[in-house]
Amino acid sequence: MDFRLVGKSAKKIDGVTLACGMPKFVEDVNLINPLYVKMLFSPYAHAIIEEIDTDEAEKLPGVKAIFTHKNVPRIPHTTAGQGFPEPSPYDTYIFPKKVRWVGDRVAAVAAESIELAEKALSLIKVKYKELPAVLDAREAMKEGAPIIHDEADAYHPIGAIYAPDKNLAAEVKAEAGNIDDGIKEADFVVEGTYKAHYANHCHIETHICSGEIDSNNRLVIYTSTQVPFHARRITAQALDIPLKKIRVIKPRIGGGFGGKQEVLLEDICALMVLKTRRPVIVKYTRSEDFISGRTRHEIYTTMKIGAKKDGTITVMDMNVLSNTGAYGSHALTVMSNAGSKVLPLYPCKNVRFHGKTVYTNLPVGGAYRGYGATQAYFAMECLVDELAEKIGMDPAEFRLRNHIKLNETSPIFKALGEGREGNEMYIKSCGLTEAIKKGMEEIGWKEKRARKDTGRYRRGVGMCALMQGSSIPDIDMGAVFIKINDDGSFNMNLGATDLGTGSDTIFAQMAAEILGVEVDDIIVYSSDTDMTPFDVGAYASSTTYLSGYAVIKAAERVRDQIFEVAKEIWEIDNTEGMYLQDRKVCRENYDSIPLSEIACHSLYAHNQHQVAGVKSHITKVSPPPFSAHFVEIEVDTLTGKIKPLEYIAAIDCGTAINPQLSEGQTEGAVANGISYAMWEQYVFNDKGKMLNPSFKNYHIMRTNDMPKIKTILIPTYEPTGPFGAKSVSEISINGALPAISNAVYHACGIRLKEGPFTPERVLNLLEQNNNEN
Amino acid sequence: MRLVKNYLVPESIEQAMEMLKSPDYKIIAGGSKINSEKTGEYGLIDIRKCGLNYIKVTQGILHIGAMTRISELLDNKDFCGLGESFVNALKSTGHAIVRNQITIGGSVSSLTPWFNLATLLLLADANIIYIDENNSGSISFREYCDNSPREFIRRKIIKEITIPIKKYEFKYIRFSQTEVDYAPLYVACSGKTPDSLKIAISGCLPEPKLFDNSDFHISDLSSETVEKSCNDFIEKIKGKVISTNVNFSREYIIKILPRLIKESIMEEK
Amino acid sequence: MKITLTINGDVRDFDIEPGKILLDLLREAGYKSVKDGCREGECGACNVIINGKTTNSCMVLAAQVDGADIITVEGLGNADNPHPIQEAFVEAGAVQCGFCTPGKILSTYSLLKKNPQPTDSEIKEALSGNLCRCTGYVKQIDAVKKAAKKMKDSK
Repeated sequence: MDFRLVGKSAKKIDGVTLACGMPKFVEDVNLINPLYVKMLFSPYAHAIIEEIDTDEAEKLPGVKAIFTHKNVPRIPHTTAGQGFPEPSPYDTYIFPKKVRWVGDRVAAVAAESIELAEKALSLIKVKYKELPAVLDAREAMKEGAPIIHDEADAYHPIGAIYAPDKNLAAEVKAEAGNIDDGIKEADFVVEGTYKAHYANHCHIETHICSGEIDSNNRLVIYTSTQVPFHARRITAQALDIPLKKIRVIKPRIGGGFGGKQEVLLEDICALMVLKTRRPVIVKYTRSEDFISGRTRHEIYTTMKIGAKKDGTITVMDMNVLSNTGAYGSHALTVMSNAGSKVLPLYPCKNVRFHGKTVYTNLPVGGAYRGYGATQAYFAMECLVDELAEKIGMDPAEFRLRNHIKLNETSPIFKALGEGREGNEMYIKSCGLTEAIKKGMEEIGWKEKRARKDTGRYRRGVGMCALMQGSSIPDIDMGAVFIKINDDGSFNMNLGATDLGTGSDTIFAQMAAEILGVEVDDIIVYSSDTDMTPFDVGAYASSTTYLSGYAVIKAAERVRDQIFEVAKEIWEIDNTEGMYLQDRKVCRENYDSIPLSEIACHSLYAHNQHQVAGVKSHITKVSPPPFSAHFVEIEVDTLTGKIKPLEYIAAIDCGTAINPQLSEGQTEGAVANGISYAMWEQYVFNDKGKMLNPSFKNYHIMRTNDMPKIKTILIPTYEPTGPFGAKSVSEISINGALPAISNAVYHACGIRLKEGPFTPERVLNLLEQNNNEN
Repeated sequence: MRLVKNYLVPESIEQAMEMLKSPDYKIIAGGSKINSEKTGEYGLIDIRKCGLNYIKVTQGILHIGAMTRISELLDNKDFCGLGESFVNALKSTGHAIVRNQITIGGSVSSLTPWFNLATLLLLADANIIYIDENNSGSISFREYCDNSPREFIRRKIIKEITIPIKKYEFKYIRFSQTEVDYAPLYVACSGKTPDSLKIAISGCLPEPKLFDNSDFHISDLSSETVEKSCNDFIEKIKGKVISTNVNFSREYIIKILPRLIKESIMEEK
Repeated sequence: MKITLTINGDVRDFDIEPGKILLDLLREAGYKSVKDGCREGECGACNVIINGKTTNSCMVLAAQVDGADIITVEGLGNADNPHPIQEAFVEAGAVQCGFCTPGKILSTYSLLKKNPQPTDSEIKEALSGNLCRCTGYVKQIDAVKKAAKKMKDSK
């Protein structure tokens, strides 16, 4: 389909101001005479705080407030930024009475300067009683394991399975068909366990939150968040203060990737502002971000897949063990997503999912782009390769044969929702076949698969197929408000959260498309709980598909009102045949009316009213984007070092509202995925302390680590999506783990089942392989 | 970095030396250490005006002033003339921005495991010219590394590093996961016959160290002989091997070190 | 102690504690484009140009650069009149969250001054000190090439 503005690579509306360094981020907000907050964190993985003495610290001149568990409300809540009631256990407290990981919060100090705050921290005396700790997810539910949440007040708000007395934070089961039948029908069965490891978002701006009391005596919080409305509600809940007293504003933020789908610092900020009545800034340093922020859940995925000798899959059985760390943020939903966004890729009537999430005394898992799917695709897409090999079929052919296609469905769509039943869905747009074929061509699949290198350096190619979702149907909602101004421009206020993804821009494109104006005639203001209508926030790949539809509805409502005004001006009795073009209302045989005239007429001249509309949207289905990734790598068999050479991501996201931004999302996700697969890891000592909380030894991709990366957009049209669009931001982070593992198998016959793919891991497997042969 | 009680900018190295006599005063050069000091107040002596930023040639010796930045060395014709291995070592130091700040003097005096030039300075027989409370002195880089370097450099100021000018044909290996990270291991080799072989190792030993054939006992340069000698050598020194990067285990470094030494010895045919 | 810095052409005097870090001084003086990303010289978000060289301002004491000439991105252009490099970054889609952008633009400025027609690998090397987690760098490399062309065409 061809649109005027949608589908074009409009420049980001905030691009030039960002490029010119204008003050747009939380730390740039000018606060008058602020206080600085520093926090004390636990040095133990598991310990009771027996005594905590802040007397000496409080006496330090310049220290204005200190909080510990002794002087804050104890209201169990979750920090997960999700719709209310959240599908995550209420097991978190502003300050706990016992600490559950190295990095758990113990105290917070507000002082006139950072140095004074740090000095005060050093004067706080804490007496801990160390407890035995659980540092391995596989040990968490064994008989005799230390119980991490043994205090009576933690509970689950939506009544999901929750057994903290066994360290079980969540459990989900779903089944369709008959697994045993499926195995009997299969000629070949493969089975294996793949482990996806801990990782950090590494948004270049760390977690930061500031606040003040405004001249209306209300608490205003400026926070680097993906979920301003959830932040408001959860802060009100945790502090037990009226929600109406709080305003949350998200300015520009320096990246989120899920790490900021969390209400992490807002409670501390609010406490400090309300106590001192001074503006306050609280910020995590980079190492605090690594240790005390949020992470990607470490997940063991065990799968059994069976297929007939003609390649048809007959059974899929998935078991997931997810490690949520010390608290249950996103514990259930990440784990169930591992099944719900992965299993439907190959529709199969005999399919089973069983997931468990356990507590450990390690850093807390949160939302991280991909959200469980990243971890489970590692298992499924590598096992699919194993299966294809057993059958003697090319891995690409195997996927072409089995992947879900137009008008097909999977029982998993209904069986697995987010903590409850999902929504049945039939695929209405699918470009995966073309994505696979184009990717094969681009990388030179046939010729390169035929290579069998034998020297020291061996090259290989691998691939994977992917799907994700677009929004959480029936649960999440987004709303948009649009009004006209005197000059025919429009203010568009919406809750949806732009984390640098460019959502403000694509919404402007969509609104301008419908209103017959240009992108810069739409003035976008977003993510302010006082000024913008509600939106759940940026997660679950919702912003384009969900909030975008609300934009369309609001714009259409405004358009209809504009037609009514035109009707008045033209003195006719109906609005038939009217359309908007070039900033004018047009009708055959009538002189067009400029929108500025519509505006002035309606604001000043006659029947005065504000032409405006506010509309909400919820989705009914979650149509998946599809992607096929291809990678070529080279293994140095002497040292085990892998070098990624070329990476192709072919992606069907429906209509790409802004192709340049869709590519940007894909490229960023791919780079993150490669970095995760190859180099990123949390190294813990035997006391649960993370040893590498720094860019020095937690390596993320730099420019000179890049392989050649190419994105191929495969246009399709999703009938349920705004202008035919589906989501694009998460899916491409899921490809690197399986694709690279598959490529390494092709290069030198070893199966990497655990990341990251360090030279050491590769070398050990190579030697094991040599010894076996 | 708020614990700095005093900041002094001497105009000569002698003046700096006088100031260094006060306890709790230290030299600041490139500044890579500024975030690592967390306790106690101290004074800083900034030697940027002491005339230590130069690269000059006298009688076949390259003199590099202690305050010379890595990026300045990369731009210098005479330094680059020392050969590809020197250029590669500096190019792979840190990243583009930090190369504008790291000084050669700072690198030599702190002798971090990831000092990329260490192996080459050993092979090229570089010297350190320093000033101490008596006068100026000179010590070979090798002797410096072999004799408690951190003790040695305390209360001294490095004036310059000298390297005999030649087009060196060293084989230089920096092994790590990526181009810009803290490499756990460096190996460099010079010499085309067993007796003239010199092998320098840094990063995975407590200090950079130079070895020759009296440590390796290589009789001929065939692949099997060299491999065996390298393996035997590792057996001898493996107790001293350390890993300075948590992403690599000691066991792994011990495994690949002999392979990389062998690679550096064998000529690329 | 008193120091003087020339920032984007403006001569400014400051009275500072000896331990004051340049990043903090610049931000307090109003140059909010200079960002705090890691405080250990790894991410480049705090990158500024000091006496013609890109430098991590988080790793420099203000006292160390007394008398120096400093350029931040505010000095290159503004939203009504952006510098060709700033324009190129926006047009190429190289600005997502924008947090790493000022530092990247200064590294680009420094590169193109020295090497007006850099190869891809020279560009990658020059930007190796600026981490970005949003873009995957692909469009940032394009932006540098676009900027090089713009600056060449405007001569």
